[in-house]
Amino acid sequence: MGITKAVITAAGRGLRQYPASDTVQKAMLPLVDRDGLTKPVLQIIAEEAFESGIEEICVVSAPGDEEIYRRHFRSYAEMLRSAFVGISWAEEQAKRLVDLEARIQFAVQPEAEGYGHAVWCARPFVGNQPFLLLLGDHIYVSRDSSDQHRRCARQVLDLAESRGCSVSAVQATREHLIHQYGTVAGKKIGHDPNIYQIEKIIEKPTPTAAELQLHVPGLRAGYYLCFFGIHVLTPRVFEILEEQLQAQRRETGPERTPLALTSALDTLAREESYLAVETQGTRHNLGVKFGFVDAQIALALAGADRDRMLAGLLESVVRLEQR
Amino acid sequence: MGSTLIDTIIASNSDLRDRSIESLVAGMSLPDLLSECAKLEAFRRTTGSLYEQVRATMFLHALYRYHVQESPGIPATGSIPFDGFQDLMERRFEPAVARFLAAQRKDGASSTLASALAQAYGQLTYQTLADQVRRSVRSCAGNRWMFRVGSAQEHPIRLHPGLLERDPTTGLFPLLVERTPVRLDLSHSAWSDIFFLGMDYPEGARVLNISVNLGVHGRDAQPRPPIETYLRVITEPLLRMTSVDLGDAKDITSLDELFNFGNDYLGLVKAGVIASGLIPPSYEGTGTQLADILGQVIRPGFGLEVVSKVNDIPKGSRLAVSTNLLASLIGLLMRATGQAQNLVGPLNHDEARVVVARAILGEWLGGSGGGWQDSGGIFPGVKIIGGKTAGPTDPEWEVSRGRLLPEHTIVAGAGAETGSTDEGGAAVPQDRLSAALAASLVLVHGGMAQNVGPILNMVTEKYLLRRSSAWEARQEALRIFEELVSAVHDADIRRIGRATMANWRSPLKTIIPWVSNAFTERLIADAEREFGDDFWGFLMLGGMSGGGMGFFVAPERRAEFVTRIHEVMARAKTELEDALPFAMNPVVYDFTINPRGTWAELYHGREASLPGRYYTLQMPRLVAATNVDELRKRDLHQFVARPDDLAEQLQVFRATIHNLFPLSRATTDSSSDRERQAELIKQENGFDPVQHAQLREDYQRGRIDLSRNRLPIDTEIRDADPRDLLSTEGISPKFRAAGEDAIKRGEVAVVTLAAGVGSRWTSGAGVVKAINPFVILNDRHRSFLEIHLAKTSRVARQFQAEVPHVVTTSFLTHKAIARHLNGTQNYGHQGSVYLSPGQSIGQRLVPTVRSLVFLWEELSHERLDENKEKVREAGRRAILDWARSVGEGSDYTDNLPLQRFNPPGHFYELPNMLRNGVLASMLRNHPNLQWLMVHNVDTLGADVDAGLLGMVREQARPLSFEVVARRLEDRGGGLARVNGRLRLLEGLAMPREEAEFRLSYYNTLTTWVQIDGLLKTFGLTRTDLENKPEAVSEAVRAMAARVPTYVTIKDVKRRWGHGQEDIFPVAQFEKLWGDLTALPDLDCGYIVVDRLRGQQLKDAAQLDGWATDGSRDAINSLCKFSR
Repeated sequence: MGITKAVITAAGRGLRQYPASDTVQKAMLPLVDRDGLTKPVLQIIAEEAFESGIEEICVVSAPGDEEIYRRHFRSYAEMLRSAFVGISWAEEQAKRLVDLEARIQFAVQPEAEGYGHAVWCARPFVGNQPFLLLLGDHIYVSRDSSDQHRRCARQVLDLAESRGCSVSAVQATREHLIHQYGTVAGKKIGHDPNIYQIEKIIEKPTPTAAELQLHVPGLRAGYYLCFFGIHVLTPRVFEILEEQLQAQRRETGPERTPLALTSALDTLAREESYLAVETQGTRHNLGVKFGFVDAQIALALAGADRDRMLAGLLESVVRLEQR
Repeated sequence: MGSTLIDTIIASNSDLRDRSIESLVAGMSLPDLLSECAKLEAFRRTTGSLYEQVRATMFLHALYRYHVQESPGIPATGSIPFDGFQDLMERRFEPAVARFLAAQRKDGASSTLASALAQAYGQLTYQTLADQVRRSVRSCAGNRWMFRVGSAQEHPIRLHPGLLERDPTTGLFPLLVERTPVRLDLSHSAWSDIFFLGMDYPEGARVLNISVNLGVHGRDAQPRPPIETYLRVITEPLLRMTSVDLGDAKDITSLDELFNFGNDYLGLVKAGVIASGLIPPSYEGTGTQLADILGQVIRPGFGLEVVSKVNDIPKGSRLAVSTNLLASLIGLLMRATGQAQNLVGPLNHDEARVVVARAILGEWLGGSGGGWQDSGGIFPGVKIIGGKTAGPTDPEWEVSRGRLLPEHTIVAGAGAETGSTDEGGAAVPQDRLSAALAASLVLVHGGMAQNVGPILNMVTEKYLLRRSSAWEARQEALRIFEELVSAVHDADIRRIGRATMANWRSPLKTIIPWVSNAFTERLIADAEREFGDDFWGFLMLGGMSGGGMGFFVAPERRAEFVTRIHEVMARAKTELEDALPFAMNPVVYDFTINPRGTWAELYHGREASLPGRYYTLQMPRLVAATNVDELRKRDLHQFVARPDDLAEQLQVFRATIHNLFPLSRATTDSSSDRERQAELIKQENGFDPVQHAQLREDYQRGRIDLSRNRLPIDTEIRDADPRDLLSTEGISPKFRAAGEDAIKRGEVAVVTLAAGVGSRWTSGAGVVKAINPFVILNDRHRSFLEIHLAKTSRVARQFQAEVPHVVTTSFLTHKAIARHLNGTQNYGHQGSVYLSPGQSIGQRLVPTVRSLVFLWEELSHERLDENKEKVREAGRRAILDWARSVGEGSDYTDNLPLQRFNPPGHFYELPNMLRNGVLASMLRNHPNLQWLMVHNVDTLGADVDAGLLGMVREQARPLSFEVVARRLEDRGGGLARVNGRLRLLEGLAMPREEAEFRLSYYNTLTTWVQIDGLLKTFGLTRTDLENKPEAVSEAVRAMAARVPTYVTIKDVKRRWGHGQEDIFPVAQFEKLWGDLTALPDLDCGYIVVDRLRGQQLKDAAQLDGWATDGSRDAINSLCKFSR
């Protein structure tokens, strides 16, 4: 199956980035990408998808955000063209922004009702086909050692397309961090050391629960497979989300409680073949303290400005030592 | 080179594997035995299997203990390398074994060395088992991460957000309360809940464990879960711990304080905090700040308050109160940190299993221990808990056959329907069973509290050795268990009672004869006599009887039984409390089955209030505090504003006044009573205040002390030459005939020294050892004194002679011994019995720091298991603080009057007979009397042996001492040539500890005293005894001045609360009998006697070996019981 659609969830408000996020959508905050261009985060994430072969993108956003995003894209492109006349990088970036705006669609999540609900909001866009799901506040830097230097998302798409099933990217994570992530239990399949059949998923487990239920043979002691933030899911997930949403509404009435994606994925794992792949690459969560700095350093070290960045970092370290 | 022993260990066929050791080595010669030992030693070192290693090591222990050591051809004496002994003390068992074996290769085998090897192998076995349990606990799923957490930032758990939601009205944080039942083991499956048994023999490890609510009959309105634990957030970065029952509270602000288990009564709460993962064990000693961890888990600047309460259920209930309290704390804290799915309500089954594993971990941390069924109270209703074979995913896989953690199958109560592998078939009719049990079962606490540790080791040993009677008994216990389960399914209480009674009568008492005692037997006999067929059976709870016990009776007579048993227990306790270790008054419990297990609830606002007694403990602390947190003030205000608790508030008010303004001792009635009693004891027992003041000052100034007990370092100490000694081997028919004639003429009397209480025997419980009925001989529990009198009866009867028997006593033992002798008409003994009361008394002192440090650091002590050692270290620091605060070298007064004094040492016991007129009276009544056979109450084999008497008569020395070939356990002196003179040298006086290990003979203290010779030594005559009391006193005083005064440190128990006990070391002064041998003008002789005659029973842990090696039967054969 050729997967052409991607969903990026970006309806959160970005409390960590306050006060900047009060005036600008956090997905519009700028980072310098590997190619040296300064881009809004959303563009970097979208390019992760495009360069992995995706053709259309749907951003799940808060009500009214679509106009803001689109205005930002246009005004930024115009500003680049007017301020840097005849300069090639500015022209290149402006072109990309226009292209992005043309290929992007928006789905609205009326209220913050959880990650599962946000994904569910994208179902009209996705229709009845598998899709790539990315997070609007995570940046991925690939370390694919193969000749193709595949993007992280591409690595996941390749497996999903070849096996014809849902695939989630995972990363072996030390136990003191697993309370931040959906964590999976599974068994290795086949000869590829990085591929697992998912058997169970628990959202943000304690290490106690992880030891009891999420042990993965072959991993180092104290490490668990945590979601990396990239999934390829079959459309069955929408039906499961729909069922869970209905069930929840029956239980809680008009009061809205967040609908998690993890429990839907756990159900999916019980119904269908569902794989996890340890992608070659790193994930950088912009939503945590120093997340932007961490992501910026990772991007810089993986791109054209690597040497300059390294020199700068070393200089900082030396200065610190001398103090 | 094959070995049947090894073949037995490795056999897969259970018929071969379960062969008993005695059947395998029967008839082996000493060389064969030693060759088997060598093969087993090689096998033990190479095998990788825990089971094979442990069983081989225990075989080696048994071979050396029961076969090599006692082998007819083996030399009795030998030398134990001192460095090997030190290894043993330091728990370096492997090096100790290696050194002892090297000595055996060099010097040849001897009983002495065999005793050292036996002990080293025995302890190595238990150490190997304990190490494995520790490894398994650490590697249980759910526990592992707690040993890997590094810095505070890495702490992976977070407080449940619900606990941080303040109440809008009161501003208080919500209060999480966990209520936990205790567990009742309805089966007592022959201690099969010992960890190793489950790990080695999972199919044989089965218990039927019921969660029960409890109330004290007549005190509590109705049974309820006896354990309550509380948790709430506080706005201070610390852990505030309160144990309501133990009356202790503390703010813990550092990890060092949290990991200190010996300096307060909060050890269990601390262990719960650590084992729950709130502060995982990996933080110990890391230098991390407690506040940082709390900041990470809760939020910066915040902390937690943890309170425990057990509704005053007395210690020793055998209902695993402390383990379930620990489990309750762990459950509570796991909920609070999101490690359990439900913040409130029940724990799910998997979480409860994690709690079980963590409770084991917590007990290990806190230096205590229980069986694997003990935390069963957290599960609902009735469950079968059983061993489980280890699978590939278990940490025990390829280590042991079974898992450390058992399997819990709920057969009645919440979750029973879903119970996956119900072994008993259909679920039990919970309501019917509950009602039927409540209608029939009477649960009691008999009041006795004993250490069951030795029993558990005995059980393990017998299991590993497959001693035939014990092994058959274990199989029978398993059959009874099946019957019991079936009866439980039918809710047929009569059958249950029959099964538990059968279990008690045969398997339990066969495996461990010491589980029963005179008190329990009496209760059962009374029940049988008075209730006949309506008494359906007896149920022993826990490791030993006498504490928690159950009686099944016909429902229509239950109420009558409750009243009756209460009376019977109270009366029996009054009669036996000086003979058996009672810690409290007996109680009857009310109980109900708890069908839901541990259960939590969250209280908000005005409902979020802690128990009243919490405030009595906290208020004085608040008053003393300079700055009281706003939240605490609000909490207090809320407590006093509770409209429905006026009675409780009044109690709190009173208790707070008591705590804040304690009255001095003299003004409170009970304390001043005590002071009067103490004065009376001094007056009645010849307390010499002038001499005491002198000794106390000498002690305070360090002129006498533990270190000063020792002879000068340049003292020449050599071993005795066997040629200087007489031996029982030299007893000729001529001696025997002469001895028999002397007995017939009435020349000999027996003196049993019983002035001391024998504190080691019952760990300082204050029980009089002489009258402790510790063993069943001829179908009845017999005490030391009864056995001694029975030996005298036999001799008297055999020779148709009068053999007077004297029992020396002291203020500690006199009343008790006199009462028991009167009550039993001298145990039916026909001859004359004299009591020789003590004539002087010593006041115990608070030890000096100098003495304590010398005791702990300079003298060899057995090191404990790693965590117990930490606990002991912490305890010692607390004791040093206590000594400093109370006053070093001051009079010890903070205890019952009797515990404040000591008899001044066995030197005085015979001279007392001169002073108190007993000897005079004996000589009057038995003018032919020439000899006294004086022996310690511990020395059960000492009897009036005609051959020995003939031999000492021939020698005609004033004093002839019996010695035995030394074995490892014989510590505390021996026979030595000191600066050229052959004498008995006390262990206290050895200039160097190792000197003792060069001595071949140990002093049994049994002494043949030639009456006239002794009198002459004192400068007295027979007539002086009658006519010149002043001269007698002066002579005794003069003699006493010639022997040294030793400072010794003894442990005394101080009881408080509901069966709680503290142990304090106290200093006392003593003079010892053996030092007479140092007097140059006194001619003393020494006779080597065999082990059986000279052996002393000092520790209850010796009992099983004593019975197994045939000593018990041999002693029995010396006795002629008269009842």
